[in-house]
Amino acid sequence: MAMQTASGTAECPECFADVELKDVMQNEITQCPECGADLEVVSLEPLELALAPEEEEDWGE
Amino acid sequence: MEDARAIELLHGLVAIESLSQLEEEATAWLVEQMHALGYARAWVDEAGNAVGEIGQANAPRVIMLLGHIDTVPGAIPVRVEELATGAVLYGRGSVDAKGPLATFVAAVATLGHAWAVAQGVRVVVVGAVEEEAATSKGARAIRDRFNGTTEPVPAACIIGEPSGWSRVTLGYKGRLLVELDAAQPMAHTAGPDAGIGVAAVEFWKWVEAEAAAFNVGRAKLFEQLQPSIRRLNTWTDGNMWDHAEVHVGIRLPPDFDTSAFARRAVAWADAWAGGEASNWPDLVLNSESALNNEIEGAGRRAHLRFHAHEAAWRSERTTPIARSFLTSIRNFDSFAKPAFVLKTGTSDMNVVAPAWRCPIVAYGPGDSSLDHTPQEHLPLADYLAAIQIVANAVREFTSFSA
Repeated sequence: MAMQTASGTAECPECFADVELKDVMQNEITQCPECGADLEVVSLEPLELALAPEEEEDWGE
Repeated sequence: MEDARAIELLHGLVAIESLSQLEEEATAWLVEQMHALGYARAWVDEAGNAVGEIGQANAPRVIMLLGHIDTVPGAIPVRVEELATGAVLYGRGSVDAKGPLATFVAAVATLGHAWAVAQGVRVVVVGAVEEEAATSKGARAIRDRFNGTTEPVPAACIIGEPSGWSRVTLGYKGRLLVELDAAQPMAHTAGPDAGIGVAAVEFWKWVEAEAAAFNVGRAKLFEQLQPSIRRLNTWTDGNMWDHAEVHVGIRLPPDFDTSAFARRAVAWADAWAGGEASNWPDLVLNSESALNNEIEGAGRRAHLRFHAHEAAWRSERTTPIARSFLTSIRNFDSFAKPAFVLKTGTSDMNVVAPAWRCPIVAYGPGDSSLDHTPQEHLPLADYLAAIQIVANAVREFTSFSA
């Protein structure tokens, strides 16, 4: 089964630049070429980006 | 799988004590459970691991779910308690890491053998032995078996460690254990010398200074060198030598040159003992064996041992297995705020990831701040959520990589 992908442009939520996206999948993480923010594809139809989930730090295993 | 059956699985696994190197009863029990849950194959392997599989044995794509079945000591009465936040299961290993392992076993049972055959995928669940013993015997055996020759290198791997049900662990720091035994001829404690214990103190201060220098400008814990004292002791032997013993554990960031550090430590011991310059210019550390260095100087001796070395490992957020977990967590709860996490500890990810270099994450329900504590407990709602999330993440990954 092939995964659904999408191509097009979406706005970076950090710097509002138009980000070109090609064959991206739901929840794929990409980077804004303008501001460098890590972004998550949160919707394919319409194409929509959000800041990627944060990277936290924990003590222990 | 019904919730009651999944909770029964967790409860049963936690109830069987399984300290490192004493896992036999628990692995045998878990293999029985795997058979009862419809696994195509289940057995205890040569290393003592509990192994269960669904899908064809010769399927080219292997998805590895690698948990561990051993725990640290500490008898916590196994019981379910109703808290204001919901029911929790208390017990040693409920978080680290029988909860994540039971999650894997239940999730793979949910997927089922017929599904795996239809997808052309082989899903392997391992309850590995000796993760807590710093030998990682079980994970090393699995790593060596799935080496691309005897068995395929996994297409993806999920390590079973607590991340919390809505978070995914991307990396673990490395580890190095350093043991110094410094000795000098016995002296009266009323003499001018401050005593052999000073050697241990001076070595620790040297390690602290190394860490402080390395950590300049490094704000994140994952990037820092973190030493701790694990043992500190003085004694006098039968040959009238006073000894100071200090064991230092160091949590390593990804870019730390461990061999260069070891050479500097040997140079410190040389200088303390007044011995010859080190004969170990090419000192190279690895995770499989210990390195011992004996230094004998004028009236002093030092024995420096390095062992249990594991390099840090950090995966990217962009791998297909990380994406699959994001999708699965968001599909489970559209209000969830998934996050990625880096850990200061070390896990079996450090053992298998450098060899397999496949997409890898660690995942499991539970709060890792409860690891090894007398309060270790797992919210049952988190456990049940994690079962669905793992099953759907494996489905998602499988459809992606088909």
